[in-house]
Amino acid sequence: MKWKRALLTDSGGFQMVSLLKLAKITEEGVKFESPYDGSECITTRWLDRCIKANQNSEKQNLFPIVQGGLYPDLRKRSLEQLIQRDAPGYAIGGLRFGCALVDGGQISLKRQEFKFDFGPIDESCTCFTCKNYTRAYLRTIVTKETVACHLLSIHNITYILKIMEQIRNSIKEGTFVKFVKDFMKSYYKDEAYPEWVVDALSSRETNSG
Amino acid sequence: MKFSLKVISENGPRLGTLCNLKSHPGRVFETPISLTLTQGGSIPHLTKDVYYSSVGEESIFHFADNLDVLQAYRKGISNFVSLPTHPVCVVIQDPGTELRSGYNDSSSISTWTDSGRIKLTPKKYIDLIDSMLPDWYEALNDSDTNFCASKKRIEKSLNNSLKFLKQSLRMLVYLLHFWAVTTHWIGSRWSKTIEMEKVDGYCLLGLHGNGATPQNLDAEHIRKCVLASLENIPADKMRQAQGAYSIQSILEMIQCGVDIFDSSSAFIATENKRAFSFPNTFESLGKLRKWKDRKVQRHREINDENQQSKKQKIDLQDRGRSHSCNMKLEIDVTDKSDSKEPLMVSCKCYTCSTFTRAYIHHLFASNEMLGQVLLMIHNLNHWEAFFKTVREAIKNGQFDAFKETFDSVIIILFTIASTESASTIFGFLSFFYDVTIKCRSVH
Repeated sequence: MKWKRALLTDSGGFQMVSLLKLAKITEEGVKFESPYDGSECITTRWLDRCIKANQNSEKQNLFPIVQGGLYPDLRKRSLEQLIQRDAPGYAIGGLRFGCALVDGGQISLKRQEFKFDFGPIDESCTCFTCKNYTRAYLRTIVTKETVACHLLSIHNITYILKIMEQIRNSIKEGTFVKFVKDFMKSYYKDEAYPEWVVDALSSRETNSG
Repeated sequence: MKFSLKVISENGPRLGTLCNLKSHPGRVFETPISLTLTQGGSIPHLTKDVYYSSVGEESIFHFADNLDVLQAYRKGISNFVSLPTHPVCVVIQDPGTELRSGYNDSSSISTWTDSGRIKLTPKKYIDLIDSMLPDWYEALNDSDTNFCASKKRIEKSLNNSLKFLKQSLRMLVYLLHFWAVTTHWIGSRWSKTIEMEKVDGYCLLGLHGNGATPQNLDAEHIRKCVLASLENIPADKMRQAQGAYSIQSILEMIQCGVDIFDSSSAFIATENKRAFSFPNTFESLGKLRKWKDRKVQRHREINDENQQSKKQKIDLQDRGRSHSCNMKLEIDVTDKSDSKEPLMVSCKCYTCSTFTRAYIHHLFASNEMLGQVLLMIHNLNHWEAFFKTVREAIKNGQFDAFKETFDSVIIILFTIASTESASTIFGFLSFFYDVTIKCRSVH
């Protein structure tokens, strides 16, 4: 792939849940039936076997996926078991995004409101897309040209990396709680915070209500 | 805009320059040139940082739905699509998409957008042109014809086009540049009726229905049509022929004196998951010619032996000529490959300098968009390098020799492909290209 940076491969856990109808779970692993042609593909995701198989521990770190959903006690148990295995890093699985990400949520560029909007997706964003393309133009090619996918991906990835940096900085400065509160306020302008957000955050004692 | 001829020969290839373009007055472009096809304002699959294009070619249909947006924007199409450094030529129908035939009438030309069929009247067309601000553009015309069209359809297309042109001329007092249209077999009659002094050049249309349809046209037939069309056209005006013609047809048209083409072929090849591999430099053509000469020599020796033993003679040259030779030298990227070599060993494009054939195969097998991106980069680079070679050949007075060598090599390859086993060709060609090449012959 000529990618000189780190690579993180997905365990397929999300697929296991979302494609349950096509999946057959056994001790060996999870078998999926391809929705296109009915052929089978097998994903193995049991950690111990993975660690045994992971011979390249110098070059490749195995990131166990923290499981347990939003139930703190389950997550704690999963975490304890993972720590026992001394894996070098941890990943939080299960997040997905779509459309174009901006502060305060996401915008669906196909909407009529952007027809005459000759500004970039995000004024403060420094990505290639925002430096060169307008919302009005993107609206004319979204869902029609593959270029639109590339341009939106560039912006969305830049945006996520920016948020991650802001999170890291706020953790370093000890202002993480405030950061989360401000972020949630701008994301849910009418303060109609979804239940899952409240549950997840209150389990960490950062009640954003 | 100014078009000047540097090298000119009677009914022969020309070297020219385009300069004083309204959008980029300081820039000079040499012809023969290939315009870069865009769809929706962008090069298919490529963001603008990936490929440097010379002059963009955009068809009107994508923006027919967005006239109000462009009118509000007021800065023209090349700024709107974020290609401000590129001059733009606007054409009516998208050369990369096959035309839906039979929908034009005497008052409008039909084109299709997301919201359905749009009828372009001269007024609507001019409104669009006014908002797009191209450097040059086709006059509204009815070119919904091809080699199989009836005489009635051809007559209608001519009459409609002439009518549209006259209406446009009246309206275009303050606009500087536009095209006339000419069709083939009634070329000379048509050329006399249009008002030649007011146009900047000519589009050769009506030969095909866009999309992949030009690929199967017989190059010899195209030559006859183009020559007939250009008979009464003044030599000092530029000649444009957009569409996904085969390389052989393009060479014929250049030899007849056509100046401007486009990169539709590169786009169609990418859509078909094929990578260009035809010889596009003097070096690669020279290598293939040496191989061809050895092959022909060997066949002569076999024939002499057969003569001795009264076996049947094989004439390598003649068999090739009896077929309509539209053979394409292309690599099918969906052919399973674990090759660690690039698509083409001698190619310096980003794709070939960075990735292996096996990886590109994998991308297509997994339906990843990156596959099309990389293939488009390779095909456009290959196409552009070909035009650079052609300009060089014309400059040095070597174009006719170049074309003759190219044709003779292709004919031999075709003959062998249709008689001997494919592995014979692969064996030889892989020496030059170091990959497996599929020689597809197209009748």
